[in-house]
Parts: sequence; C-alpha cells; structure tokens
Amino acid sequence: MMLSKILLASLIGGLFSLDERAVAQTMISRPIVVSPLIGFILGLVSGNPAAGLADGLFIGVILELIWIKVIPIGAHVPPNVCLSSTLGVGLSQMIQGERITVLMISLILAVLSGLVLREIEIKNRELNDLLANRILRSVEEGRLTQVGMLNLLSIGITLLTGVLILMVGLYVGVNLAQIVIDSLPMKIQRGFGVSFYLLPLVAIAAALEAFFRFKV
Amino acid sequence: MVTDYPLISDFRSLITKWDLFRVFLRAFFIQSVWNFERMQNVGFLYALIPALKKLYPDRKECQKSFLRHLEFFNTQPYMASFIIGLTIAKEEENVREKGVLIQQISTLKKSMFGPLAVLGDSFFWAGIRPFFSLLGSILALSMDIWGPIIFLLLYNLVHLSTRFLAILMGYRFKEGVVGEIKKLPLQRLTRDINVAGMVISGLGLGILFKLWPLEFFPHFWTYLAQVFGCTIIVGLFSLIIRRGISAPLLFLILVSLSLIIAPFFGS
Repeated sequence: MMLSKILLASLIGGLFSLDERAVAQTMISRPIVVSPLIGFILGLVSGNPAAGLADGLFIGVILELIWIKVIPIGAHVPPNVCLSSTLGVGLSQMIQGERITVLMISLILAVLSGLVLREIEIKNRELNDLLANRILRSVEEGRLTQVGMLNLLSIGITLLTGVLILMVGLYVGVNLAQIVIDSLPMKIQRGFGVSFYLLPLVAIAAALEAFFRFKV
Repeated sequence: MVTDYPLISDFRSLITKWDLFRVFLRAFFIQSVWNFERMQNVGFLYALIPALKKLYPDRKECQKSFLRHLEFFNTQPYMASFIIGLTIAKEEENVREKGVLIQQISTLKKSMFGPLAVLGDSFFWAGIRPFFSLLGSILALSMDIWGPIIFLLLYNLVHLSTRFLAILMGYRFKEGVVGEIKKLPLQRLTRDINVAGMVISGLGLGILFKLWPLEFFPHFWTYLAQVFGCTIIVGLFSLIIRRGISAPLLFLILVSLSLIIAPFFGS
C-alpha cells in the first residue's frame, strides 16, 4: 500500500507542480490546494479520507502562510512549494506514530526539502537554456514546428523531474522519518507538542509581516 | 472605458476573435521554457504563433517574424498579455499598411515589459495572491475544504479576466494601452489589500482561539491571559521576521528549541 500511495502522491504532485512555473499559474500548485487534495486521496486509499483531509489542510495552511512571502520576481527562483507540500502531506499519511509528532516531522521535512528542490528547479531552468537555444537554431534553419514540439518537451521534462523527485523523496523520507520517530524518546517528542501549538502563531506572524512589508 | 471595444473583426482585420482566443490559450504557456538567458522569449513567441502564421503565410516572412520575437523578454506572466495583444496589432499594421518599422515593435515591447513587471508583481504576487491565500487559509480553519476552493475561485476570477482582457486591450489600444493601464486603480487596490490582509491576520488569531482545546482556557482570566499572551507572541514573531529571519527558519528554530527544552519539563 505504501508504494501505491507514493506513486499516487508523486503523480498528482508532479502534475500540479507544472502550474507553479510551466503552465497557467492558476495557483492550484499552492500548498493550501495541493496538500488537502493529496491528503484526501491518500486518506481514501487508507480508508480514512476525513483524517487525510484534516492533516492535509493543517499542513497546507501552515506551509501556505510560512511561505506567503515567497514570490517569483525577475530571475529569482523561489522554493518549489508544490513539491515540498506534496512531500509533507505524503509523509504525514505514510509515517506511523503519534499524530502531532508525525505532522511536525512531515512539516520539518517539507520545509527542509524546499531548499533542495529550489536547486533542482534552477537546474531545470538551466536545461531550458539549452532547449531555448535549440529552438532558436531550429527557427534559423526554417524548422518552425520545432517551437511547439520543444515547448512540449520542456513541459514533459518538468513533469518527469517532479514525479521522480517525489517518488525518491517520499520513499527515502518515509523510511528516514520512521527511524527518527521510533528512536526519539517520548520526553523529546513532547517538545513537538509545544511547537505544534506555536506553529499557527508563526504562520499568522508571517502573514501579518507579509502585508506590513509590501507597502505601496 | 475598458469595456468600450469596437468589433474586433471588422472587414479590414486580418486577425479574428478566434485567432485572439487561440493566442489567449497559448499565453498560459508563456513560462514553459523559462530560461536564464532570454527568460520568457520562447513562451512569448509560442503565444503569438497563430497570429503570425495568419499574418505571414509566406514561409520566409513567417520565419523572420518568429526570429524577431525570440529576443529577450520577461515580465509578470499575466501582464505579458497586454504586450502580446499590442504586438499582434502592430504586426497586423505592418502587414496592412507597411508603414510600421519592425524595430518599433521591438522598442515598444522593451519599453513596456519592465514597468508591467513591476505593476504585476506588486499587484498579483505581492498583493492579491497572498491576500486570497491568507483568506483561504483562515477560512480553512473553520470551513475546511471551502477555504482552498474560495481561494481558487476568487484568485482566478481576477487572474483569468486580467489575461483575457489584457490581450483585447493590447490589440485594441496598441501604444495607448499604457494610458488605459494607468487609469486602473492598481496602486490604491494594492494598498487596500495590505490593510485588509493585516485585519484578516488578526481575525485568524481570533479563530485560532476558538479552535484550541478548552483545557487551555479553564477560566475566563486564563483565557484573557492567553489571548494577550498569544497576541504578544505574534507581535514578537512578526518583529523577528522583519529583522530578517524568514518564517521557515523561525519555525525550524522553534522546533529545535522545543525539542531541547522538552526533556527538562514534566515527567
């Protein structure tokens, strides 16, 4: 069942991550949309969609607000919030343990993965440099239909990268997180309970600061 | 008025409503091949293709038109539609009247994409997107899945109508589209959104108190103390974020501190 959940989460997350840059930008790639959706679907597989939806909403809201100021301006490459939140909610539905501990570990890994995924997005865009030059050469040689085909190829590469990263990330993440949870003493796991209730305050502070910062 | 458009396909137009609609759909792929060297150049060309193929049935001329639109281009993806509409109108003018310098099209694009990027970034990325996502998040606390749904509906109402109208305005007003954009109260709206965002953040804190377990507030005075305490904590966190520590980093620091301190409290 874990492998089917990993495949499902990877395919949906990878598809939705196209919206972040490659296609449309309708914001279906935002954590607040992706997390509850994937949480619900994985919950359906486990036989408890309500719990999956609740966990997905919690993770989605927290990630949405702590990343509220992450915006793509000019050449700046922001963290891939869609893949990160897919990773977070996917882990929350596959790791066994006390609910608060599982949610906190999933959130920690989601936030940390943002840094890694940003580097992978940069590599994706560097690959696009090659594709764009190829398109230019094709047009210079008169092969005008190559524009559409290479455009599609770029989208395909972005999709494939996202799906593969999620599959590897979820598989490694589940096993790593389970080892951490199983070996962490309960005394220390109690600390997650404190930060669990402080976390919404961090999220609201981040939102407040986002609107304070962007003065016109 | 923005809505006072003449018929788009009058008897002299080469470009039809259907051509513009196809361009509108292709504009959704403006960032598909975003690259560091020339950024949105490929996406910009890809959006224009139905119009360029219509205007330049001769393969050589079509190839030349493709090449001149593979130059550097980067702006906010929704605002790019203004320039796409304008470019189609100028290319059509070039074909019909042969009086437009090709260079003028490139100059117009270059003069517009920077200012439109600033406008679009501050209104969409720093304005309505965080505002609607905050609203959706706060609504999600009490209305579950309706929070994200309302976020998507409200955001895309503005997003899709901007993309659609921008192409029509760019095509209709050509260089005059700058004047039309200036008439839109974007700066005032962005300012109002900032204020509303702060109010909704406070509302979010209120909803949180309603959702937290009752054992946190056994008495009225405990409740009051925790309301004030949490408000002060939010203010403190807000100050920390303003000092340069990002919210994700603050989250990681808090978790680490909680884990370190936890073993010293309780049994």
